[in-house]
Amino acid sequence: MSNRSTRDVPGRRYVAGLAALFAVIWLLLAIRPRHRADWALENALVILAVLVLTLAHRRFALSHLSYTLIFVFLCFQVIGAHYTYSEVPYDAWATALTGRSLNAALGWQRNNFDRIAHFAYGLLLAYPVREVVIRVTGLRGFWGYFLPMNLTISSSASYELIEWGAAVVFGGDLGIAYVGAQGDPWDAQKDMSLAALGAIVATAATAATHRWRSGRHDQLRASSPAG
Amino acid sequence: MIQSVLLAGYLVFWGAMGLAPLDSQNWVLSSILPLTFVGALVFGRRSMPLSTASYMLIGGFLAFHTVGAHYTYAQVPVGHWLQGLLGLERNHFDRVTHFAFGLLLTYPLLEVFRRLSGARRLLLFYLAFMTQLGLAGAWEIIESVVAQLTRPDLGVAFLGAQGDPWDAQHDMLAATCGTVVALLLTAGWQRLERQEPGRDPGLSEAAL
Repeated sequence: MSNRSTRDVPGRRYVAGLAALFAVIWLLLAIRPRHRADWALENALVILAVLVLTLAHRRFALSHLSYTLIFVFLCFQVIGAHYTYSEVPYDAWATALTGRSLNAALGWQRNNFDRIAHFAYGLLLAYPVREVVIRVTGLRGFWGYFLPMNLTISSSASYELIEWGAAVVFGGDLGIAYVGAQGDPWDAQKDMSLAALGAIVATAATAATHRWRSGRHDQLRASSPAG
Repeated sequence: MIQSVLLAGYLVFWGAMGLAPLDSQNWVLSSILPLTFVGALVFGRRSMPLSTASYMLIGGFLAFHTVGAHYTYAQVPVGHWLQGLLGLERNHFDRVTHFAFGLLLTYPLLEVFRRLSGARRLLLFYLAFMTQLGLAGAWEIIESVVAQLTRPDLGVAFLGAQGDPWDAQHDMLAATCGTVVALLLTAGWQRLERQEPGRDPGLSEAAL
């Protein structure tokens, strides 16, 4: 695992390609966002994440799978920032593509792009977080699975706290747009539970893959003739 | 020995508080998690033995929670007294318990991570901090699910929130503050210990 950092050129090329693709998407979505102030607020964390990933790449390179998952999640975030989360026209896209309204089909009363993004957060980032946690702490077994899930909830909780702080500090319309509760009294809990649910799905998938792989490995060993 | 005394003390206190709770359904629901926790501690006493200090801190936190469960958090007399004293809008015993969660359970968690992981110093503290915040968040999720299942009509007026629209954020912030205080106290203790070895071996860095 540790020799990932000394990966050869093709590995670098893949990550550089992802970064370039993200830069193009980011620039396109930076053009005329719905609300410039909300766009700037939502992008603060994106810039920070990209900065950390870039600085850490040489000494602490992640797997390609992790970089890809992070890339997909950051795309969700910049789309949400461009349109403002509560105004992402996913329903119009669904109608244009399939001829049916997604909100009507699922009985949604509000714009649920933020909920989708919170689920995506847990689903897409639990694996990269697990990779970092295991490499840094050496934890195995129960804690190796529990801690990444819990870190997903705690980062989600810190995000809710930041949102709350921002709403109190900025107040008014910008604060409301940033929190994006859209009048839901359980907004914070629902956001966190969706992130937790995504993390549980990702962690279960990781655990199942490991079991399946180690099972196949044991079978191969058992079936190969003893030297 | 001390562990057995603590366990017996907790079970007696829990039983006494369960004799005539204000709301028996609430009491049963509130007792599920602590009993599971105590069961895990008893079950893991050989594979993951904690220090006496940790067991006492855990016992202290469980006492808070048992009192809250007996009176339902919104009606704990001490909370009412505090409300009158400071002129607060609501009974803040739940916030006190959230703070106690951070303050009292962080040190045992540090001990567990110290034993199981290679994390030391700042990373160890960071892990404990994030884990506590995550557990506080998980608690808010469970609380909201239970509230919506049992009393969907009440919304944020339900017992736990007492009408506070930012209840989840306030609760998590209280737990975070408790955690930060516990981490600062632990770090301070370790510093003292390094300057004067042997002062209190129970709380030294080596014991942690």
